[in-house]
Amino acid sequence: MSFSKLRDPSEKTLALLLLAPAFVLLALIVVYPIGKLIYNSFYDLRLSGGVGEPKFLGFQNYMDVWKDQDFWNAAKNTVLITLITVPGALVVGLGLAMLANLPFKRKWPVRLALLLPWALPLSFAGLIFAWFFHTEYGIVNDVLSRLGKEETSMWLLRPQWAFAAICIAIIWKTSSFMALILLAGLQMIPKSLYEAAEVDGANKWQQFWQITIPMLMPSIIVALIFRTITALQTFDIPYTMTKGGPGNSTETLAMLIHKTTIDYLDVGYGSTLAVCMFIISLIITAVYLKRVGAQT
Amino acid sequence: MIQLPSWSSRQLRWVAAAIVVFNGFFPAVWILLTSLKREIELVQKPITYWPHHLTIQNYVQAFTVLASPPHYSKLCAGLYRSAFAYVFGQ
Repeated sequence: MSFSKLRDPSEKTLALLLLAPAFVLLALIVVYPIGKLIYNSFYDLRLSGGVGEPKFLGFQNYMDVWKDQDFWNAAKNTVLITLITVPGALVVGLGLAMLANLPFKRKWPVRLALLLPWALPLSFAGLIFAWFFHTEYGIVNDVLSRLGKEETSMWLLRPQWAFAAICIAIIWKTSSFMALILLAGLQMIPKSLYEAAEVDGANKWQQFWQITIPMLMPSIIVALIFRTITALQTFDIPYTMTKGGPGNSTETLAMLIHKTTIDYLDVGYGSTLAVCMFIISLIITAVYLKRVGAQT
Repeated sequence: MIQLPSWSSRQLRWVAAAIVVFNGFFPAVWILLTSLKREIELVQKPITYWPHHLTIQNYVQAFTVLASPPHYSKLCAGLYRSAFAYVFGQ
């Protein structure tokens, strides 16, 4: 094909040709797996079930999910983790960002400390905190007993305590990312606003609520949206800290899917669970974007 | 930028820096200290904050194990995978 011919047909053909590689790649790595997942969710695909054609089940898998106690338990845990850790990380992150925004002479140690939790691998953070919350040799119990607490609390061996420990670890890990976005937002606020408020006689508290928070709102919303989406997929930290235990009291949806597919080798049912998780995430994110996004 | 509040003397700024640095570095420092302890010290009560006997035995062991055949291939596979993800993730 000569060059003139290529230019002749229309800009449209060229545009399609240029878009084709990206489209093919996306179709291969995004569209095909999701399509295959939805397809699998209608079949009985137990890898431990011997040989033979996979049996078509229709909506049987979905009916099973509806009656599955483990699924609702995992869904409840996932939503609870999201509801606790997202606002928690926002508050802690905002505090860290405000502290890091003070005019220091040497900025790099503070900036590095702000970045470090974000740069650590999730599973690494989970393992460190599991060691912190260890009943016998953990530093948390040691500090608590030094402060005068009589009985040792079995952090990772009691459902509610394990849940609290996991939430603390997640908040520590994710507040760093929040603080980073909020720090960037804080630095955009013009200093003149505070000077004007000072002249008008506003105190620090009023300045915080009337200037800092409204000016920071776009950054807060971006941070909240990112954080909520990743909180719904929580896997690494609960997996490395408790493996969902004790019982399944700290099991999230992603962990249940992993257990069903990898440990129980039930690919069909695991796919159904994954589709359900996808739908739940989609609903929450859509509602959330509509609510929160409308405020900008 | 937040202007310097009137109560924020130099000491208060130090406290702020200390809080942020402690929050960020504490787990990493704790793991570093743990890696320098002898194995027996890890399961000692009351727990020790500073290693009683500094040792690099854990590091020697880690690198010896990594360089031995079954793990060496895993290490290489991991590096290849990281490189692949880095190149195609851009």
